[in-house]
Amino acid sequence: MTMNDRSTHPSEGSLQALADGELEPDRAVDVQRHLRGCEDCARHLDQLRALGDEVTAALESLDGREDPERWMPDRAWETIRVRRLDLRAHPRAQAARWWQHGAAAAIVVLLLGTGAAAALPWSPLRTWLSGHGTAEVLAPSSDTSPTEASPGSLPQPDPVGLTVDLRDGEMDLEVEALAEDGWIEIGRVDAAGVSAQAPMGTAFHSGPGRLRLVATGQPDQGPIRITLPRAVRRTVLRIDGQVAAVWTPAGLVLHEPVQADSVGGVLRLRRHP
Amino acid sequence: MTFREIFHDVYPALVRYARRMAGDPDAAEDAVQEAFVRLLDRDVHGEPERLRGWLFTTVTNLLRDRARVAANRSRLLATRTPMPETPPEAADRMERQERIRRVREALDALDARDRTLLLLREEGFSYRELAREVGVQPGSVGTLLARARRRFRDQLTEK
Repeated sequence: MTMNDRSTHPSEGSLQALADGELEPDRAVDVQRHLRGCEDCARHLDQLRALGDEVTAALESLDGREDPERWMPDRAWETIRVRRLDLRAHPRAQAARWWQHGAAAAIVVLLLGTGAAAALPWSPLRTWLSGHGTAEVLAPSSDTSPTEASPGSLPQPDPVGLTVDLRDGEMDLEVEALAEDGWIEIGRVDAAGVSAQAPMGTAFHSGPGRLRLVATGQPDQGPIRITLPRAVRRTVLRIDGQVAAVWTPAGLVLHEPVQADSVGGVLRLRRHP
Repeated sequence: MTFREIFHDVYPALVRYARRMAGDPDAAEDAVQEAFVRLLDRDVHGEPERLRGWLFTTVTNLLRDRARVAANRSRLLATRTPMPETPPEAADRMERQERIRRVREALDALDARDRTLLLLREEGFSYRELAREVGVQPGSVGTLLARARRRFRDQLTEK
């Protein structure tokens, strides 16, 4: 059987793959050898190439010439970022009170680590904190977090509402003021050793994998500080029921309405007005 | 490769693909933006090739799911067709609009698989990637692609 035998003609699919540079090298050698002795197949290949060019030209006519700015990734990036903010913003009067209050000072310090609250047999924290082994060390992501692209273009935050300090993989959250009835929740915590401190007038509610702090009256002045150990791999921070940030091994993902600014190694967040 | 690098790498091709698929630039860009928002929100990870495939698939599905795209396109074409006079530049514009209309109709006449194969191949998808996108064996992509191109050309010349 020779390569010019009709029964050995390459299929149209093989010719198309050859035209598209997608044929396996060994197979391509065989087909090209056949083409040298088969005018019909060579003509067919030319037709497929011409057809491809014709299709490409026709489709290019759809692309339009208007408003080339719309094609620019830089502009689109900002559009997408803003859109993401808009999609997630659900303005609530209650949320607006979050960053406005301050009062006098007495601070209650609660340590909710393995050695404190969890030691109590009746404590829900015992359930929460048990059964979690150590995990990989957190490494704040510098280039894979979706937030990395935006700090330079974000407006400067003035009233700082929430500060996230990442030090050696440990995460400190600091909420500047908690309005009456406002609350903050740390959820889906998958490691032990969480500690929190809050001003007088703040109630702590805990359950499996979560900690909620609620202002029971006019809160005293002073921030809420929550420290998450380096073993934590995934944490969801909710403020007034809205997801504000998610901490994953890939980095800190901000949700809206939150804006971020990186200053001196500390990430400062504030709610989007 | 950072997310932003992937974005800059994929965005132009994705918008071109979406515009060709939808026929409505606004609907196309809306779908592309939605795909990137979902990529961010759903914390999708993987090799750049996988993320690129995910984005194209998501845009394809979004456009397919939005029935209003077809209605918008018809409305746009209908409002653009009447031209009061024909100075040279207007004649050129009309000729171009007519060309676009014919290509658009030829593309719309294809079934979803043929259309997806044609448009994704134009964006440089390999046969292996195309096979994954449309759910066929890689070995059959050449045949399907040749048929899709021929159907498209036939539709175009019939118009």
